[in-house]
Amino acid sequence: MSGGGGTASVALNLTALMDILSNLLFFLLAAYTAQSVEVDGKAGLKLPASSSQLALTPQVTITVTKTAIDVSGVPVANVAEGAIVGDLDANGRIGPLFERLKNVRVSREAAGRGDLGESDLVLLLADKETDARTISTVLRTAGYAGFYNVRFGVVSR
Amino acid sequence: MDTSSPAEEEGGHGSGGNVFGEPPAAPIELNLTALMDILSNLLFFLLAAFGATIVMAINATVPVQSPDKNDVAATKQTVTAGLTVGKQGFDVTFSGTAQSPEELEKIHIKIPLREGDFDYAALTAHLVSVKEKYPRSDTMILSTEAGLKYDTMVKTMDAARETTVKVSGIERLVPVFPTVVVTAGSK
Repeated sequence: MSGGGGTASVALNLTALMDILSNLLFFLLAAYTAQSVEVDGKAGLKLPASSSQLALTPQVTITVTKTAIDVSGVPVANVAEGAIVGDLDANGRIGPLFERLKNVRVSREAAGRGDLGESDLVLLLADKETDARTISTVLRTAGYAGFYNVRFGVVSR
Repeated sequence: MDTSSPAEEEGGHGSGGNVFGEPPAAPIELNLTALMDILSNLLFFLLAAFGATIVMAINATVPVQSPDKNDVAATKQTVTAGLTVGKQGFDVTFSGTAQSPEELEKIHIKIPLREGDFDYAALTAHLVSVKEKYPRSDTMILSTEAGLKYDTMVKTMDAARETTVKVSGIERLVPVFPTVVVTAGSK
């Protein structure tokens, strides 16, 4: 098996292809890390599809997954079968969520950012199987905490 | 005309050695195949992930108590839609201080389920007909019964927000009731 008489090996010059691939890679890495909202990493969160064409901007985010509600990553309440676990307060609010949102608002005002544009705006990312009543309760709580405007995060249809 | 070779230009030694007379280094051929594999894999992963995380938004508000402002329409050209999503279908009522109760009752409609699903097309069609009659209307108060899914809520907002119309052969998106106020519905 000396291989005598075989065809000569061809050396491909891959430098130009490497350049293109590296450029594409850096562009995609930059675009990937620049995205403000990460939704695929969360378990139990599948956003509904919508025909909306409105782009997202970063703001306070309330996430409602199949198991929990969190504010910018901090868990505040549990969810089971689409409904909130535990009692609401006398005004029909989710107590820990209200306190957390109120703290966010107070700390913003303390930092002098209380009257900036969209300061009363909250982004809601909710699993599409969540009970609509849970969504209404979350929105009511946000409204009590001073977040009157809401943006529903959806995936483009 | 310059006929000197590059080697002669660099070192002035035509034999190919350097200035110290050392023999030239053997050319190195890098095997880039493994690196190409890694880069291609990363590229395909990022391309796939990039398309999957595009998130859009729908604007809405929650009701706020205000002594000097309310959401009920107050002109002849505006009405406020009240849309209740129940397990039996849609119940669409309208309110406005410039219209008589009889006039508002004429455009009240109940849209039952169709083949077990909500009839979003009928909802859009009715809201468009109301919009044609009251062209400056834009506000819809949305409430949902317990037990319905958030997905249904989003689809309802989609159906009420805009519609496609053909204007001189070109399809255009026209807003119907784009301003949504979400309230807690009945139990």
